[in-house]
Amino acid sequence: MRRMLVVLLPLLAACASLPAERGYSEATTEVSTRIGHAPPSDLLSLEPTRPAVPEGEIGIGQALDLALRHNPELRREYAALGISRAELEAATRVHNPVFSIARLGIESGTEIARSVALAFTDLLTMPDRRSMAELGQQRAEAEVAQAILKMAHQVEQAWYELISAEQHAALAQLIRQANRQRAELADRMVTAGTLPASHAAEYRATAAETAIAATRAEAERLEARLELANLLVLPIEANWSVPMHLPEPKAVQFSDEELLAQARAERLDLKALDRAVAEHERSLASVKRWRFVGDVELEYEHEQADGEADKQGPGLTLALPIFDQGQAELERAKAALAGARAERDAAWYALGNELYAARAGLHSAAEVARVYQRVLLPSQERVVDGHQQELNFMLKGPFELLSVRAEQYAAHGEYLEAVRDYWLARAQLRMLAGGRLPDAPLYEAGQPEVGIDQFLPKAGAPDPHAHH
Amino acid sequence: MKATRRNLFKMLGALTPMAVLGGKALAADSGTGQGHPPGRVRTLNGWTLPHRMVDGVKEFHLVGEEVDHEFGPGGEGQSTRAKLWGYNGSSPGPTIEANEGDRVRIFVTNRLGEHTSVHWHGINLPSGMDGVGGLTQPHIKPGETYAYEFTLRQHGTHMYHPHADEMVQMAMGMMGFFIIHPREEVQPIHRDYAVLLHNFALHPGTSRPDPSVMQDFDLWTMNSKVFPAIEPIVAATGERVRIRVANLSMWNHPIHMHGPKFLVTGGDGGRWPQPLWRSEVTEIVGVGQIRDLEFVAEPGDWAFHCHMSHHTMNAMGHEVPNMIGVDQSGVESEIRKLLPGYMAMGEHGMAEHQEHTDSGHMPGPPNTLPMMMGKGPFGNLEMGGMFTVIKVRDGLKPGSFEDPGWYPHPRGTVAQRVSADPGFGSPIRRAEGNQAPPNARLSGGHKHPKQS
Repeated sequence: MRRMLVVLLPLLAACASLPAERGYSEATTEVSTRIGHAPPSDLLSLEPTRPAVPEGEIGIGQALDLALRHNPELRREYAALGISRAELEAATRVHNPVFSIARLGIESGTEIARSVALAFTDLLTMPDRRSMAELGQQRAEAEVAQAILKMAHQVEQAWYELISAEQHAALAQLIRQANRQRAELADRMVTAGTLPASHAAEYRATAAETAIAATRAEAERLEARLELANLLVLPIEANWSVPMHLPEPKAVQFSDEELLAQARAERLDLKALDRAVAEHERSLASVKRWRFVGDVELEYEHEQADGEADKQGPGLTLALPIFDQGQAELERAKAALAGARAERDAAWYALGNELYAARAGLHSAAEVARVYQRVLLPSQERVVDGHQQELNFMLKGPFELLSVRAEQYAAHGEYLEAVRDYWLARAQLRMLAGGRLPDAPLYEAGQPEVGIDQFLPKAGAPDPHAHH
Repeated sequence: MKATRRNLFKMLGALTPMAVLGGKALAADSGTGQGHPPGRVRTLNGWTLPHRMVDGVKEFHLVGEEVDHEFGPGGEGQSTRAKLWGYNGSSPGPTIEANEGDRVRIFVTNRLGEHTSVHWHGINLPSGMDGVGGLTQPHIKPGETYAYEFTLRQHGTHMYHPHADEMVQMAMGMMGFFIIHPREEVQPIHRDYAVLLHNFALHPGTSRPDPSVMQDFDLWTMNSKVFPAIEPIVAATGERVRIRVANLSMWNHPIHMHGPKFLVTGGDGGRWPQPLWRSEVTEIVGVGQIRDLEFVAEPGDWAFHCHMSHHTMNAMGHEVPNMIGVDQSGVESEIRKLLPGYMAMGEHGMAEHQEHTDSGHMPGPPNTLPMMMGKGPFGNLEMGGMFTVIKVRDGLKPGSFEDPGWYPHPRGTVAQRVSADPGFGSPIRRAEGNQAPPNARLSGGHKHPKQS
């Protein structure tokens, strides 16, 4: 027995437990270094709670913190890490030795047979299993980190969408107001006898259309609010809000090559696929190595019988590879490896195209926003100013002036959508590049610059009647 | 021959061959539109083209070209300028004056970018001198100079204008007077004025006329000016005044004179025989037509204008909503939330408009004059377009055309207010449709709803 213990003790040492933070801290570090925000690594041990409703506007940083701390979806992702940790634990351990004892009646009395058996196969394959489990753990860490990044991306998208929806709804109300005043004027003209009622009905119909559009815009605003509220685990009706500004689009200051290099180095899903391929490569090598070795069991037996001298000695149980030489496991491992490689290759091949298209999309969005800002909006402003001047000189009437004002509001809304699209495209590109962009290592929270208040009439405009 | 400046030109021309009298010397003596070189006729805001005598022929030289023109200054910062086409630097071109029996030679140089011709409207001449491009002569191509020569066998008020791409060229301002004085005036005229009516589609904010417009014109002009930029017609009390009114616009114009009745004494065909003269206060001058109006001046300031009331306005919208009687209270304040510069106008009419535009707080489009302009001694005149004032004063010196200012009405001859109470007196009024409006509607201006 002493000899048996000599064999087991080193094995016991190899079976030390994993550190409690293993996996969680690696995943959160991957995320934190990319976007500057991450869920707590001990998330699973924390009591699930809904966040307190924040006061005032929720910035993007606060939104990310709320989601990464409270969104239950992340707990599910973390649970996947627990599974991979279990796999790693299992790979570092062997089956327990089996002790057996038998009391047999014999002619001379009693025979007691004692034996200790150890499945030796575990011990033989442990290095391979541990290596594969380690790779599996790394894959799981990358996958979970990628899932966290994806959630951050969803939060960012929802945040931009809500800002845009809020502004769109506000502008729709202004357009509605402009058309309502046109209809009101037309009705007054009917009363005064200067406009046929049928003509006024046209203005009323247009006003109704814009009222419907405003109602729909409000519904879309609520839908966008619901999306963000769910991600942040906030009640939709609570008194929280998002800013009414978006950062102004900025120039793209990196090349395709920089972007591709960044993505290759940073993409966590690609890292996970790489680990999966390595895992399968190791699996195939292990199968090849041990294909002729079946179950191996070491045994030490002691027999003690009345009237006889004690007998003891080691034993070996060995499966003979006569009928099964591991062909099935080999094919399975080969196929699994081929599949993993194909999946990885597909992702790598698609990477360049995805980045190219996303970068082109970002450029397009920036160009659209630029044309709106530099050309279309100033032109619209001149149109309104021109109509106001023409109204001043009785060259045109208020209906046309209100109409072009409404068109100007619509153009403002389109510009804000273009700015939103730019930031959505940038967020998408950042996601494709692995969580950060070459010109913005961490999450970019630019100064708010574009918002509906820029387009609203300034309070305190001089009263044109004041000269009377 | 009396040594007036005009006669000096004639004498100089008679003595000096054209080859000796270079263009430079001629230019030094000719008008450029800045002043009014002497002629028998005073073309308001215009000038008379000098001539030279060459071998007994009066030579004139017209140059068709693009010109910088101001239809009129308005208030501070207000003006309407345009690139027109005219002759010798102005639109209308300079007035050509000659005498019945004269032999005239008129050079026409084309400095336009397209061909042109000149038709001598109403003048008897050989067909080949009639100036219809393609019909009676080749077109005058850019850079070319043509000579027209004929003998004046008539007298009267006539015009010249292109007969090539004429819709464009006339719409751009190419026109002028050709006045032939009779050998002998049956009744002497002390002051002889010429007014050429026209219209321009100079859309607000633009600086070139739009020749495609046929009816909705922006500027109705006398000698390519709009009131109050049109010079006054000045005369001394008792003088016999003739106003030659020609019409090259696209509308007929009922020309109305305040004060003395006038006699219509002639047309394109010259001065009519006296039995045909008729007394009028309004005379329609049709498109392409000319009428001579004569009257004896009576002291005062007398309006002289087209009676198509829209023709006494400057640029105005023809499709603006009719806001007369429309109560905009409440709506205005709501609109101002969207358009802070918005002001409701027109509920009680448009009389207030000039106050707003003159005060400058309601700027209009660039290069555009307000619809209503002009200030008189008693307030705003609220006019524009084809409107000017005949100013007759006692004791004006013959030949003085200086604006004498506003008429000093003798005491007791100006209408005066006797009450500010609409209920004043007991006038007989028909009940239906003549209900007294609420006081608010008599207060002038518009209501000032609370801003919300």
